Amino acid sequence: MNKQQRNTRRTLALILAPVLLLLACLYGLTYGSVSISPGEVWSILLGSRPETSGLIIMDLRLPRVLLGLLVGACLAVSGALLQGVMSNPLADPGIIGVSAGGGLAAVITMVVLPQYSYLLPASAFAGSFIAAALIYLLAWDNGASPVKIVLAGVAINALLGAVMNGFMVVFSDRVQAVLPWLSGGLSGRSWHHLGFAAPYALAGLALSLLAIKPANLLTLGDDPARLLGLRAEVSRFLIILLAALLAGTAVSVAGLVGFVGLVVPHAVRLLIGGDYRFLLPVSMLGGGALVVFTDTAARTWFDPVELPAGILLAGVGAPFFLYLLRRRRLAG
Amino acid sequence: MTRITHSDVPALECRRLHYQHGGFRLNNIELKVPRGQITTIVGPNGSGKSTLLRLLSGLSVPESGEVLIDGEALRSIPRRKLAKLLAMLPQSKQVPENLTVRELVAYGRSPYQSPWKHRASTEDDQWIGRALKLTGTAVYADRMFHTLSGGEQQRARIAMTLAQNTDILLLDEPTTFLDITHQFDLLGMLASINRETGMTIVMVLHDLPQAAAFSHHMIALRQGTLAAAGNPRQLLDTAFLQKVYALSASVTYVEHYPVIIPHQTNLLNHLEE
Repeated sequence: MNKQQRNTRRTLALILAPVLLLLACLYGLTYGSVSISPGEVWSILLGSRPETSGLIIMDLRLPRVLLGLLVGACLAVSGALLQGVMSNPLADPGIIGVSAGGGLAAVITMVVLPQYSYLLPASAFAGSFIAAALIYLLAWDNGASPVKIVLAGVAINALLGAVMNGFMVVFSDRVQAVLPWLSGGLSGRSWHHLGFAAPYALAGLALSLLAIKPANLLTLGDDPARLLGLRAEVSRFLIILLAALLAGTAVSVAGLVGFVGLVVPHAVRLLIGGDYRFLLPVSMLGGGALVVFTDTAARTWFDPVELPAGILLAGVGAPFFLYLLRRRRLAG
Repeated sequence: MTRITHSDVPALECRRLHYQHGGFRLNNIELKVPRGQITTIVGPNGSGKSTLLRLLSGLSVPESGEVLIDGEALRSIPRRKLAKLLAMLPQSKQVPENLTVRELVAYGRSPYQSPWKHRASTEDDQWIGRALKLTGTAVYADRMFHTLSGGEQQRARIAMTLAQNTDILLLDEPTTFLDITHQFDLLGMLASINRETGMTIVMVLHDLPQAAAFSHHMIALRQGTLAAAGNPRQLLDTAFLQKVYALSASVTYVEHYPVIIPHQTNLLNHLEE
């Protein structure tokens, strides 16, 4: 791809991503067991309150769409950042155990301290960060090699999964409350969840814009980045911290939703290249669009059964992951 | 562009430098890099050339002893300030995909930019333009880096270090993996940059005749110690080759260019029969 092609693609992506996001939101607001026309949705959003459809939009669909938007954006940005600073295109918070760390911490909070549910994002963040730091330390040997990160991450992921399962067996009497959360998705989520997750998510997304420059410099390699005046280790640490905050926030509200952090940034990278000035905002919007769309699809396509969005995403994400592995093998 | 410094203060200086990492060690290195000149570091494989360059750049920290830059202790200078005093072309060839030459060169301005500013200032653009011009890369500034030949890529990488607008430039084996034409091309370019800008250049080279022909000052390492330092044309002789490389050979000059002739020519006899 030459410069002109790349710039055309960038412009297209910057126009298409917000359009897709809007369409996904519209889809999420209008479709469901009761269809509500876009015009009606618009008037409801502007303040008119027809009895049932008003309730459906304001109490059910709108918070869910907004949550999907935040969760998707958080996961996609988290993945984009991790892929950069771990110099590994397969670093997804779900695959390398960062989400599992947050998930374990969230399960412990829900089971042991159910009265402190407002602490969920904070504890999920702490769990995600500990997992990320552990993976990085385990993979570190004079620099962290991409292969080692994935291997250490997969091992940590398995370990955390085992601990989580063990925990649920021991506290089997209290697990019922956790189950809907665990399957991953936005079923039954409402303003309450949005209220406790949004501050973390918005803070994380805003901070991620500050990570653009260091993340770009780190793609040159550690030594070149240092020679350009970047404190490479500090920057990488802070970016991992940020990625954990984003993944942890998403996990705390939507449970273990996989593959968004892998699929979205990677697809964007294939389309417009790895420059974080474009990769990050486009992934943010694309991730939001993907989760809102899949959540709506999971909610409506299999009526009367409501599928967890996590299952549908894994159904799309797993084949894509295999495709990436295959592409890499062919390329390498 | 030239900063006001006493010309008698060396650009870089090592004082009783000790360093050990893995198999590489440096012992009691004591040396001065003259300001405004081209200095070449030579020595056999594993003698510590690249290690020394890393210490000079601040990428590695000595166990004891000190590196001074413009007479100031290098380790007391914050990274970002150091990036305005000293640039280095490392051996790593890693460049992200989908980058034009100009965009790569623009990374050289990072030490001067705040983290939330993404547009190059007019001053940045001037330095980027100058770097492109000095390296002859201006003609393909808008091409994608990955579509360039090895020689062109190396020039573009050097342009990035020049955009940093430093008084000192270090290069770790800048000619490795280039064919002979591009090697001379690159060394000629560095010589003219040194002449035009008065920049202090320190590089690691493997080719002794090139080192002697293209530098004012030569530093020879052997097994992590300083074996010799001085004017390359005065240094390079039979005794030097024996001492530094354990090589039995003599040196002659053909049209002012040094040529090294090994004494064990009998090894070649069967080729001539």
